[in-house]
Amino acid sequence: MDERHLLERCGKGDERAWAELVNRYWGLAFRIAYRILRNKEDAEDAAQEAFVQVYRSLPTFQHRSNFRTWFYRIVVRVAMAHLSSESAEPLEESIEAEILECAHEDPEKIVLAREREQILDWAIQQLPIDWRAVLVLREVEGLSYAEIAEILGIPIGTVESRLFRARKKLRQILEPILGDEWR
Amino acid sequence: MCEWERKVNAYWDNELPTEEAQDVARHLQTCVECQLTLNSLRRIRQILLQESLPATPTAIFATFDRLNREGAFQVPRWRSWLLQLDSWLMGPKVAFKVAMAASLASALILANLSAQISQAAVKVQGSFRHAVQSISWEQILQRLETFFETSQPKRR
Ligand SMILES: [Zn+2]
Repeated sequence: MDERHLLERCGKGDERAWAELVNRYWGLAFRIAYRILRNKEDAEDAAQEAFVQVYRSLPTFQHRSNFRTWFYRIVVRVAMAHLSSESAEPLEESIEAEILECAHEDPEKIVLAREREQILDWAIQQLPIDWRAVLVLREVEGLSYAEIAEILGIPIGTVESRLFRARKKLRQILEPILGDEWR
Repeated sequence: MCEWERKVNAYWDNELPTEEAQDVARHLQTCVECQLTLNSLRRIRQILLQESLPATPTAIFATFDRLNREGAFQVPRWRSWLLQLDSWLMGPKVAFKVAMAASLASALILANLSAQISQAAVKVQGSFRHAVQSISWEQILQRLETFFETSQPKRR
């Protein structure tokens, strides 16, 4: 089913079409939300909330606009709102348990990978929420400044400056920690 | 920091007009500081792209459930009950639930829904959910829908 047809059927409340839409876009919603919120439960919550909003506003969705852009906008806004309403979970979790779980793998490797992800979580959490949104849309989703500006409803100059600052701050945090690995 | 630092960012993003981009490229050949900046930009993107994210179930049923609670669909009560059963089976007190699930499975067999579902239900022995995983929810719901529709007096 092509996307336009799918969206039309969703807009009319076709449950089967809706299931297909959720299937297609759930991963994208989760990934964006996770990269902004840095917490699985929060990201799943936000992705769900985003779909509820998509469902509600589908009837007013104009087919001349791009669905993906529209979808990005909803997901990013929901995720940003989610962060301001909830305190982030502590990152410290039992690494030992994880090592036991994957005993067949090299424990040291797991610790390293896990530590690296925690470092990244922590580093990104040092960034203001609106910097994170710009960063994710540019670095991971590969969108242009103009597209990001449209999605977030901010001027292109603001996209550029937030991105510049976010990267500078990440570099300041990560470069000393990762040391040789940074190069 | 070199005053070109910010421009190197826009250059890396392909957001500069051709002429300016050429200026930056020329500057990069001689400025070590900007070469390091460019390298860090490359590294940041690499780290973000290579990061492995936690697995997430396609929360399609959770989403349905939530929409349902908010009254988005006019979903029959038995159907939302099934969706709740799904999350309930995933929770604690598994042994007790398995017993319950087993009787539900027998009920499904008795209901003689279809050969496929019955087989799946027989396979259960332990967990309703486990059996259900071998066929899709959509199929089960569809069969149940037909079953309920044909077993209830039609309105209209
Ligand atoms: Zn320079």
